[in-house]
Amino acid sequence: MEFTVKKSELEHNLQLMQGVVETKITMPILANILIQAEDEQVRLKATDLEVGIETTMPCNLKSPGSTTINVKKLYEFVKSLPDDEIHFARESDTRINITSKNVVFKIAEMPSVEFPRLPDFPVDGNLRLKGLLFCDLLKKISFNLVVDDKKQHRGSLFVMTPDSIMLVATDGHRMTYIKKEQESFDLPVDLPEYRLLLNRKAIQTILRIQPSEEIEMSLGENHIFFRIGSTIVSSRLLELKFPKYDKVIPRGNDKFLKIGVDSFLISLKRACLVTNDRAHPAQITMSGHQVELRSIGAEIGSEHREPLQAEYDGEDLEIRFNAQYLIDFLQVVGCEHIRMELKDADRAVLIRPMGEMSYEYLYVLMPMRI
Amino acid sequence: MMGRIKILASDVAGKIAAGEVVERPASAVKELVENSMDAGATRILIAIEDGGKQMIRVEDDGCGMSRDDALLSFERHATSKLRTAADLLRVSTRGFRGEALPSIAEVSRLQLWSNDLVEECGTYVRISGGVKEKVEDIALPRGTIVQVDDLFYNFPAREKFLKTAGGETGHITRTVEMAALSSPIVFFALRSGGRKVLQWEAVETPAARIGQVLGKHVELLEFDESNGPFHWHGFIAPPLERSVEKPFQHFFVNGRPVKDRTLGFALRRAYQEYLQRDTNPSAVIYLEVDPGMVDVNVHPAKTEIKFLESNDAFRSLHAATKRRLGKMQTFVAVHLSEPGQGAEDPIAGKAALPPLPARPLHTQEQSHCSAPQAVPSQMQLDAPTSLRDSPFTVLGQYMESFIVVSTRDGILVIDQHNAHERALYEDYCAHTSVPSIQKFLIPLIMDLSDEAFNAIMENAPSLSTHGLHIEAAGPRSIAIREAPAQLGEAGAIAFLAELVHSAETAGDLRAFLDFHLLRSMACHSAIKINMPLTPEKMESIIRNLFATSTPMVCPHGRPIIVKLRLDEILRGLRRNTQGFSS
Repeated sequence: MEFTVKKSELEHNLQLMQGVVETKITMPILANILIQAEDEQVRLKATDLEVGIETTMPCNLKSPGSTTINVKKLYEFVKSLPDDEIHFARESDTRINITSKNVVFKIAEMPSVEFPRLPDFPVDGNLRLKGLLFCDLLKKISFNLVVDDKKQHRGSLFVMTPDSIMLVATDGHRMTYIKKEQESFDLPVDLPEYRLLLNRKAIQTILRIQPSEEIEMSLGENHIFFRIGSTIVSSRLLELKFPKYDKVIPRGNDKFLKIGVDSFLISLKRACLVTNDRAHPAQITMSGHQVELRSIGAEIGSEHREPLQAEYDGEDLEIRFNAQYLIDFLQVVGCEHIRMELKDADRAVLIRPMGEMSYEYLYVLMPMRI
Repeated sequence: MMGRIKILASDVAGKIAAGEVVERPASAVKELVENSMDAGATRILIAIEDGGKQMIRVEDDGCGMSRDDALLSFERHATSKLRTAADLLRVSTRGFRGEALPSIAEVSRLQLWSNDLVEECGTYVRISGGVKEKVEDIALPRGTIVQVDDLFYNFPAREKFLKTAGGETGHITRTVEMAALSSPIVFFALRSGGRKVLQWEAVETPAARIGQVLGKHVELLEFDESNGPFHWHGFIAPPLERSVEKPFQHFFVNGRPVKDRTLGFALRRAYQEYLQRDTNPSAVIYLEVDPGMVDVNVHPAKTEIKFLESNDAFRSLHAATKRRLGKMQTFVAVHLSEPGQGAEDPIAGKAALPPLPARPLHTQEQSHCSAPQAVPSQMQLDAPTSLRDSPFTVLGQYMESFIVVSTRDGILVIDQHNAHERALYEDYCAHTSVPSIQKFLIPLIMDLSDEAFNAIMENAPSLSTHGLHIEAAGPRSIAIREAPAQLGEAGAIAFLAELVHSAETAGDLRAFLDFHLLRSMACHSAIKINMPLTPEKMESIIRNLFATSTPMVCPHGRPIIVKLRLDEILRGLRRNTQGFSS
């Protein structure tokens, strides 16, 4: 095995691979990436057995072959090199020689036969989605995914019908719902309904890849696949267990608050400066047409308050939220104003973007106790 | 026409009453020994045959009884220790019900010799199955002897349920142990079948008696503290002690051995930062309290008590124990070799082993731990001088996880996560604020066992006021609707699990929840292992750790520091101590 690749391209790909590899390694081979060189191409593969990623890049091939190398070490080394060509060659049965100009790096390999086989991208039944649109949807729910992998719904509900694509994510305290009608995706009318749980890591991996015009999606027996440019992300299908999302969307909230996204965001960030590091209780007081934001710090005497530029319609109300939860939403909502629909201090608030939107986007948030 | 209900014949009624007091030979021993102690005896000799089934004999040098008293003592509810019902509220003697002697006499052949040295001669009484057979004058020194033969001879129903002689002897031995622990100044001896089972000379302090009774394998921490109406004198096992012995907990209230859940629970709570779950701390606790504050008349066997203010008792013992634990310093010490086993050295052999220093190498905190120890690893306890003031140098970081520190008397290897966690925890404790409470959009539903469900729902109202709002969501499932934001979902579940596990409702639930909350916050905010640190950061972590009240144990009960002592290093390297004394 011997080939030469461009540093910048390799570095970018290794960074993607690193995101998939587990931080806590249970099987040593899973800390490695598989490198296969053939037909003027280098193919890289990494997996944690749930999510797999593979990508190809052009190379100057001298002799074909394959190996596996620790991805973290390789990435750190490649990153440190000047922007130039990098030469890979097998030196002995157990060692790979990596050189760039006159820097030499010898690294132990593990045999490539030990690397788990990734599922193949299905040949039939592929669906073409508009890449930028799809990634925008993912981004708008991705902040609300459960980080704890022990939870049952460790991902986003993903429903696709001939009419629409819908994604729902929740961490128990809040829920994000987004639904886009089909015209923009040009889905085929004979499309069977897809309803599955999309793995958190798969979503995050897709969002890290340079979005392309088109994303090819395919459903295998046990996996769902996304092809984005020259990269394929595969994810094992999870058991579909998801809370009844439509039950928690509040109906009949009768108080309305309209507020500008940018100024609200800045005010909330200021409020977070006095609160402690895990919970950020921020109180919004609406009385008459006055709206005030106030937060109280963990240290005695620290406090923040400021009036908010907002339009309020309803009875006087005082409600408390985790400011970080509001910030998460405001950072991705992508519009000028939002509308908060409230009932009282104890019940869920419904937040949605205002203005002409090409999709239905809802954020349901539970308040904190006052 | 005769009614169906009849008054029981007196002998049947007597046996029923006797059955409550005298359950087995050990209970007879307990009653007789208590009488001896109440009589002010300084020597109590107990002899038994066949596990007490054949014979029990208790001999004391107490005040003795006059002839009239001796006869009267066999009448039910005859006692010298109580006069009016009001006295019952302030019982200070061990016995008081006036049931013991008549009950035992009812179900055995009993002989009593007694002399109070006031009358000219002593009294002998023989009584069989509750019937007096013989009363006469005898010559006797001051004191009382009671001999019980053929216990339960006329009560075959009870006799059948007795264990083997060995089993009953075990019960009796434990009974005598309890009596001995409650009165160190009394000489106790127990003989079984003519063979000496135990014999303890009178000693002056409870500490000495505990050493006699429980052995010296454990070094107990002592505290002596009064708060409010309670005066505690406690001996508690140091945490982290890896003992193979079964944990023991003995409580004495005004000298009476008692079993009480409140006290046991207070101990466990005080230890909760130090012990991992499922372990009980060993302890011997003496409480002196105004007799009016406790009700000892809960059960004829008198081992159960009721506190008038059970929460006060809980808080008082909890605080006293915690204060004592806070003063202690414990850490895991590494022993390089087992001193005295020089043969391990293949080159030098035994002879090359340098003589051990005659006195502790350093005037270090722990004088007792410099003695050779045959155990490979042992806890070092109770440092009079604290780490707080001791100078140290950070040598570096090992495996990006452990900070290595040199001190005057050894090298410390410190777990950086546990160390930081401990310091943060104490900081949070000092600045507690009202927790912010986050409501759940989708309540967390948990299916539970009946027992767990009941335990949680019982506490639900009080938990709710502290921010953990729980509702029943079915016959055996609960829904968590609100939780302190810092606790998080996982923390809330862990807290409930521990609450169910301890299945105790006494004590301060708020403090228990706070403890979990702060511990969880500290654990989340603390630096992790596998994290490189700069020397300045390491020094700051160590300085903060040493300033805490318990730098040796993290709030989860895991040790923080492993110590490699200088004398151990020297011994391991076969160097003598010259030039190294500090």
